[in-house]
Amino acid sequence: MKYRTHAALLVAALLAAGCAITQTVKPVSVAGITDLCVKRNSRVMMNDFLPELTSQIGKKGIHTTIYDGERPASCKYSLDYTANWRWDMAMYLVFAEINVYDNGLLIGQATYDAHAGGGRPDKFGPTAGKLRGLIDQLFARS
Amino acid sequence: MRGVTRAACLLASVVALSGCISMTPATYMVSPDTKSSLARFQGATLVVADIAGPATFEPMCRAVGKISVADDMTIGQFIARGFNDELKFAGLYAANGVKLTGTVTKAAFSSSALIVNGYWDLAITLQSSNGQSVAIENRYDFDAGFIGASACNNTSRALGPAVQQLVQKTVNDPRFAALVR
Repeated sequence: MKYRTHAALLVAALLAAGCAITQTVKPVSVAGITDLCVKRNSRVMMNDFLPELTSQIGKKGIHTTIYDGERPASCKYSLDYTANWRWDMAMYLVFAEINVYDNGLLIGQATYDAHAGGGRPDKFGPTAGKLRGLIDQLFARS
Repeated sequence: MRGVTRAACLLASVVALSGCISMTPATYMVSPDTKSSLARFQGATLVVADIAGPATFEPMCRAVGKISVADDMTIGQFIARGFNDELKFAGLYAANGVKLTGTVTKAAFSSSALIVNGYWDLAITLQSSNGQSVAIENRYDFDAGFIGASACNNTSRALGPAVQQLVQKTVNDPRFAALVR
């Protein structure tokens, strides 16, 4: 009887706390984007992230230009991003979000979230691979 | 007493092992379908000046945390942002255009309908500066998931597409044309 209570409590705790990695992509709704301005995020500490991001977008046939601060008026299509890593015997990507805009209006979004995936082994692995899954879906219509 | 202590330890261990819980704020994405629907109003200019309310809204999702909206907007402000983003995307937005104001008459969600499904119920009234008004309500269904943290995170995120669907339903309603004139 006592074990039943414990089991119920365990299930309830798992329901409340969770153990999941989620990847949500809303593909860019505009086709034929050839140029994209990418806003540099100086708070993203991994220096390799931005080159990897622009390289993968380039493979979709989209030319990227990096800018700082306000979006240049010449940039109809722009992209911003954020990414965080966490340490658990090794560094792993815990969160990434990529937003694509048309004149400042959000037209596509990709999110990777491993905040609640602490117990999962697939949280490890190269950031490039996790990024590829997001970029492929985000620009699927381009 | 020992049973209670054990249970408390078990609960603390599981929560600690499961990691941190974060709620992703809802963001609004413009819709090509809504842009197409608004194309029939080409030549008109509009602005949604303000959407108030809701008078009551329970933001707590299970025991996980509160549903959050980008830039700490209220549900009404978020819906107004949605309308204005769509008007800009369709080229109909002008600050001196026909002015629409409104009220959120219902905002409620579930993250556990049929255990793994969720929904957002949203209802608004919109009033035009020309005196016409319209009331619209919509239920947006989504897959919430079983796990508490991700279900609530999905519920928070689902507010974006829920508002997108509400805006689309509004502009597709035959009565919307009367607000624009």
